[in-house]
Amino acid sequence: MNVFVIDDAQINLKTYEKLIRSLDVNVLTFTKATDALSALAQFEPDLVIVDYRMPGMDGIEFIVEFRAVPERRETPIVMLTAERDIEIRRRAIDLGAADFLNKPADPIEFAARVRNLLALSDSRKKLANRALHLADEVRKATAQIARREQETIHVLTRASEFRDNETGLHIVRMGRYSAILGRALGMDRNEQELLLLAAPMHDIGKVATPDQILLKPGKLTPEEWEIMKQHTTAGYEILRDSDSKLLQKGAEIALTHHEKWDGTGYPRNLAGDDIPISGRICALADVFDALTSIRPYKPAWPIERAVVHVHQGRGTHFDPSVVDAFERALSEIREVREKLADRVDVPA
Amino acid sequence: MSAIDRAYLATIFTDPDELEAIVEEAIVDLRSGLSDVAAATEAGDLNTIREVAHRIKGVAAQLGAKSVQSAASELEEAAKDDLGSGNVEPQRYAALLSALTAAVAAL
Repeated sequence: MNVFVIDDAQINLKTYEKLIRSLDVNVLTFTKATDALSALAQFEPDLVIVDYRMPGMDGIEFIVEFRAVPERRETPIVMLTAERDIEIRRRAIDLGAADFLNKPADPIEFAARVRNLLALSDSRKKLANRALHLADEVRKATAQIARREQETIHVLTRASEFRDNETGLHIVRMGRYSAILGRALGMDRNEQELLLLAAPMHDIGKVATPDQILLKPGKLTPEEWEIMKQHTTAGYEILRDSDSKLLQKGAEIALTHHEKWDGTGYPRNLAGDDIPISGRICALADVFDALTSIRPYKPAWPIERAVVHVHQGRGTHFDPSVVDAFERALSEIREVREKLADRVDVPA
Repeated sequence: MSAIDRAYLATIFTDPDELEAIVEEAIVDLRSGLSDVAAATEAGDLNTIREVAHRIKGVAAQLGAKSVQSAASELEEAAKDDLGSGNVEPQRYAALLSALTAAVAAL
């Protein structure tokens, strides 16, 4: 630990140095306050002992300069004074002197005060380091919990998709497309992140759809179609009671991703702004991904054809502003499509 | 030499040689202070008189040299008063300075 001692009289410096040396600290002595300020470029004191009345810069002026740096607001300062002047002491206290010592120094009192203030300085430093360390640990733990939550959601969502979509890439692309559309619409990072993680849950209600309907190769009968539509409300029911913002967003998306801008969608025939923006975004992302992916009843469409189809749905199926955002962000959408394409295994 | 409180100083500087060296150095410091005060008195420089007298007072206090401490203190107070009032009495400084010089010489 470094101790700065500033006094214009050599005998005083020698006396203080002698008294402090026994405490096993590094003592730096200065006959001028300005020299002590210059030394701060090289040494950081844990304690400063400064005389009040000195030619040139006095002790009060020194404290003001010293405290000007925020990191030094807490460093203990002891002012040495032969003065009984209350006004000087009050000013020194106001400026952040921690203590006073009378001249001439009493050996026992001097050493005891210095030891106490060094201990204070040391524990303050340790506390600050500990606080930093704890904040860092909390950040890491929180990030880990968030990652686990995302992983759990991903696994459960995959399980629900497993019967009709074995690669799991559809739900990943859905998240990416939705986040890209969110950004193109001016959403902040948190909202984009929420879409990225919640959009994959849109079809989770399909766990309630019977195999003979979900996996039926041909056209569904009107009765079967009604049952198929129930995956929206089923998903909502599964997710809605959670406290998690992420699952709540998932519930909203599950319920509304088949609504259409003109009110002809399902399950509630919502129209326009009555459909939550997350549902409007996921509606487009879901359709686009279905069109550009291979299905038992159709090949994967080229992107250009899917873009034309989306554009034709502007103002009827889709929110016009979401279609505009889609067209603005097309290069990013295309990139995701290419990077996360389903691998088609060609028979040898 | 009884004017210096060697018993007090010995509680800090336990090595007798070191103690003597410290005392010698302090006395040299006091003498050079005296000549600074003398020059400042000639020049009528009250600020310097006050500063140097203060330093002499502090050194004397640390030595336990009460006679020097009080003579320096009187000089410092006089300079402080005159700085406030603007009244300077050269004869008064000559008297205070010779009292201080005598006290230092007696160490």
